Amino acid sequence: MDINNKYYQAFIFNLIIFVSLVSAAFVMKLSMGTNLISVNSITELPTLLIIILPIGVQILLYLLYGKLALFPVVATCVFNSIFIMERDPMLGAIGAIISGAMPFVAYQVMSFLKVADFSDLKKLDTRQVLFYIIFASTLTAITRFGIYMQARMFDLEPAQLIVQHIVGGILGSFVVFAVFLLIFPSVVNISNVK
Amino acid sequence: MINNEINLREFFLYNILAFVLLVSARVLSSPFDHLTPDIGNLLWFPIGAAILCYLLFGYRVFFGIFLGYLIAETIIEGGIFDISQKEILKRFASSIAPMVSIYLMRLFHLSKFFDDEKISISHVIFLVFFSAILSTLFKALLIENSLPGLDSYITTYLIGDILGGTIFIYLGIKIFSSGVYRLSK
Repeated sequence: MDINNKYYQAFIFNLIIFVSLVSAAFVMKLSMGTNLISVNSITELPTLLIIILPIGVQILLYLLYGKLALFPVVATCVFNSIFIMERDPMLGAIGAIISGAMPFVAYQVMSFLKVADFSDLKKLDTRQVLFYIIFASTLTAITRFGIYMQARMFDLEPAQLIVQHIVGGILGSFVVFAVFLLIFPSVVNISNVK
Repeated sequence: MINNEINLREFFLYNILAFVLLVSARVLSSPFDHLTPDIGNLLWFPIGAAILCYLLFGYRVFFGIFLGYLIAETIIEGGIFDISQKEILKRFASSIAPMVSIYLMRLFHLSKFFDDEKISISHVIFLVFFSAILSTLFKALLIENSLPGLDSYITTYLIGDILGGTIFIYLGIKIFSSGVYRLSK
């Protein structure tokens, strides 16, 4: 197969996004074990500290690919919500679309208002990326909370849910970035040496 | 010694200016209190006044802003009897949120807000967004966390802070810059 073919490249691009997001959701679900609670068909996080890995992967993908990643990320989030997290198809999908798009909204707001420049990956400012992680996690937490509260479909304490999503998103992003920046390059280096 | 006196004079002058600006902003937004009586005001000008004061005079105007919030509330409520401890904490959160936002934006290399003594409007708009989010979260998570309608509380407070803050700052900059232009002519 011709690797310069644009359809092949688009397929690989979408595959990378799909695999990374699905594996993040799967690892998160495995780490949660039986702690995930389900209230009225909405699988929600329990009242303990949780690391939300998919937000970290979404942030990383938006930083790497920009607006090109929006559609595949949102589509994979809907897939994750229905098939991996086993949420309600309607509300779960709405929540997934919002939580998939919110890191992109944060990215666009920061770029549009010129408070951060993510266009050149070589010149990325670590502190700006750190702020982007916090900002994206906060926006995602607030919007998810709004949707679930409107649906009146969960029994968790509202304030606890927001804090849990913000802290979980930030911690998840740190873990994903650590894996991507520290472990991934060393694995590639070792395989190259071999 | 003289330097200290000038600093003290500046401190009082700036705090009085911040106090007056905040009380006027709060009084200006008071007609909108009755439009949404159970939830937040949808045009909250004081956050714009607080942001403008912190940007122009620095963090030292905190006392003027906090006092301005309390006195304005006393004037609008018609006395101190309707002002609860929660109300005071909420005003404290409202006063401190823009300060924390400015500090964080500087810490994370997002903005210095002034380029060659010219204010950067887009950065200030982002500051309004960020201050609105922080102020709302401080109040919703730390003070009003057991409120039954927390979703409408958060939504209306966010909308009110963003709209009011943006309008007040836009008008403030327009009026201030046209005043400077007229004086220079």
